[in-house]
Amino acid sequence: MIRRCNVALALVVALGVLPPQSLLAHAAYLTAQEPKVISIRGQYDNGDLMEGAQVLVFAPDNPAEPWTTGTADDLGRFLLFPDTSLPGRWTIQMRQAGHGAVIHVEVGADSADAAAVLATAATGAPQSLAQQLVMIALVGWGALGTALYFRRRRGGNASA
Amino acid sequence: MKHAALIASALMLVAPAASATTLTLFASGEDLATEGFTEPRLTKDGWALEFSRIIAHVDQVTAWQSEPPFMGDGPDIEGTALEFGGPFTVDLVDADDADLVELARIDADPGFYNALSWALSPAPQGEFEGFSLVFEGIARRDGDEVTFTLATRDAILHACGEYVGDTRKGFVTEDAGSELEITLHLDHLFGRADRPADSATNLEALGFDAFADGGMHEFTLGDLHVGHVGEGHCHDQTM
Repeated sequence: MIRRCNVALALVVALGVLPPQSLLAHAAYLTAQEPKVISIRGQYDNGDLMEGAQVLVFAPDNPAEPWTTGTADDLGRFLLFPDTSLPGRWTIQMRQAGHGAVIHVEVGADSADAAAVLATAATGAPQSLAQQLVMIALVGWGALGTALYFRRRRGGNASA
Repeated sequence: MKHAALIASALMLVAPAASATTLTLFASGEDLATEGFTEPRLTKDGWALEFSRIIAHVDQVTAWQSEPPFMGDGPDIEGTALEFGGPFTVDLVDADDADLVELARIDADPGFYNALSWALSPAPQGEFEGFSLVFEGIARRDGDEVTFTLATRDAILHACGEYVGDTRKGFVTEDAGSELEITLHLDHLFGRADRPADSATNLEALGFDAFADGGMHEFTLGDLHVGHVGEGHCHDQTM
């Protein structure tokens, strides 16, 4: 399932009454922008979820070193907030108990249409019931991203 | 004299970059090969295995720069090929501290080598002629001790995606070489007592009970899918 809503919210909140000149240095402005979130789910083809799997994310500007790492939740999911200033192919690895799987997601530079799944991945021998991993990526803008934006970690991502 | 010094300096600058632009091929049976199956990582049926040799015969090895990335989901890899060739005969027990055995190092153009194809194939000659994978060692359980040799004649072609492991491998630059790895997952053969008995790997693994009378046994790899690239999977098919 690919969810793409071209909705970007920008909210600027300012006080309606200007403070005295001497207090301008203390004015506060909040800006909120609904972020793009990529949801990745790892599971084995026998239905087992990759609960607690290690997740490594590689950005296109330095594909050899992890941009961030994390852990999948108890449903094998991981939420990634990519830095859209780094357009190109993002690679996500999920590893657990000696098994690993890879997925690639293309993130565009245009913030109005910033993300598209160009490749979903199923690594493993498709004839194997024991070993194949299936990873599904969901890409979208919207309420899900907003709700989880505030759980964002330094480095730009949060796991669910 | 000044010219000679300049030339020497230039060579010193150029030589390291040229020598670094290589791709090195390793093979590994991981720590289950070098350390054996020990408590709590016994075989699925409770045997401790100590290997004296694990001989694998590998051939037709090719590294690939595939675009779009090959995902190990079929037999055919499309992209730029770099041949390691073969054959290579390797003892996975005689490995370095990282459980790796170097097979070959070749010059490589810069790029990301994100796929690897290789064949586990029977040795055409030598001590284990006709066998592609041989285990020698001692098995122990409940005071019993069994000396064994397990061997398969299976020939299996592997088409693998990118290496998956602690580091991301395969990036060759102008300044630095890289490496790729053929990895054999021995738990797919023998199972793991520290994993659930109803896990997919343990349900399919051979275990050791079938070989408990010791001596020489032949086995088939069947659909056990022992061949990997680190933790990354491969498509495999019988040759």
